[in-house]
Amino acid sequence: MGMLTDTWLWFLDGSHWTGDLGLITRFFQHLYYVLVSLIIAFLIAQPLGVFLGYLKRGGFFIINLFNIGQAFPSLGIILLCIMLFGFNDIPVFIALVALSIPPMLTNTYVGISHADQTLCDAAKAMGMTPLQSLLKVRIPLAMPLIFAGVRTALLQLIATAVVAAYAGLDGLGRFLIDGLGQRDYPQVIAGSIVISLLAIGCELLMAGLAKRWLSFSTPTAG
Amino acid sequence: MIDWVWTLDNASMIVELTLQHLQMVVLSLALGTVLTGLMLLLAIIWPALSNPLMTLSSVLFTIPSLALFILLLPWTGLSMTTSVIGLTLYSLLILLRNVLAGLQKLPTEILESARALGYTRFGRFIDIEIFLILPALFAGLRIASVTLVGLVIVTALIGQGGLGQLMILGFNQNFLTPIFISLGLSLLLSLLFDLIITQTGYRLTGWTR
Repeated sequence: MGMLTDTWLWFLDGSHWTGDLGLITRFFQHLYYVLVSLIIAFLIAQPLGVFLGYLKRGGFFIINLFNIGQAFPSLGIILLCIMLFGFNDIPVFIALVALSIPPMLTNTYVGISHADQTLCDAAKAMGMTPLQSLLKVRIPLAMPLIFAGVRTALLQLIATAVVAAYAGLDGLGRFLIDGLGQRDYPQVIAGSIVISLLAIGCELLMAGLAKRWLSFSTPTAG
Repeated sequence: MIDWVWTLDNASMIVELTLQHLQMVVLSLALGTVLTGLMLLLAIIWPALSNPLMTLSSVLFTIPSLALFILLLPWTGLSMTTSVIGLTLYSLLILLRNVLAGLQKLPTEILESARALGYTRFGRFIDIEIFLILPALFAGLRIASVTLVGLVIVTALIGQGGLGQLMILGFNQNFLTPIFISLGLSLLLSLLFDLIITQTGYRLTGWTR
């Protein structure tokens, strides 16, 4: 278990925490990549999901996009984007955004298109315009699913941003990739512990938010 | 776009890596299924374990794959064992969630009839429940197989990886052909697993139609 002791000592060394290559900087870099990609993907996926879900068009396409997205390995997509579009942060962002659109799009589409028909009819009978019934009935009803989609996308992004370090992205993944290259295992393990804690923390935060904001249970789209 | 001469020259390597990929997925899926069975037995003997098991699986499942593999390094090093343990853990988490959810959704009438017929708890599981949760198990196997085909690629970063090695090779040599081939083959592998599992499930669960 010498490796675990070494990892502990790695954490105790203050120089590993501060500076441009320290834990704190890279932690925030990681969050930055994840949140920027999540927001861009959100702005693309949500309006599209609501629009297509309301029209009930393109369901077949969306579900299949989701399934194919699941089957495509994220590392491959990232490496491909880098090689096709050049070696900087933009291609990685493109890959991260592309990978997190399908879970959000699918959940939103299913939530909007499968909203309780009785309630939608009731909204119509009360004299709501289609836009009102969309904003006041369908979207609130779909909130648990929309939220579940964001949650899935967030966790997927945290994991993918780690792998993206192989292609040169900064963030916490650097500890893993650089450490493996230098055979510096304490650094690799310490990085993995921080990433795991970040992922578990985000998951707990999202679960807490879902409990607080959404009185319904949170189902997931299959 | 694809350099076919290179592909033919390296056909034996590509086939070997594909087989390695296949082997890792099958091995981890099989181990995961057996472990799921054991966990299920535990959950049946001590029903109070069911909820903690669910929570533990969902927490473990949130750990990013590469980090999970690396957290096993102190014990098993950079070996095939590390990858297979990590992959097995992922398939266990997916299968267990599906199967436990399936077990909780069994129709009460059937369970009560079984009780009226004099089944013990264990007998009921062996004779009845194990068949009724098959659809949930196969749904889980489908998700797990597709996920595993993708995860094996990630193990390339810790020295294993089947088709993932092809991807790394292409990236390091700035050569697109291996990347396209490994993307195509891994897509094909997940379609193949999906087809086999769906067909087997279809044949084994005739009563659902």
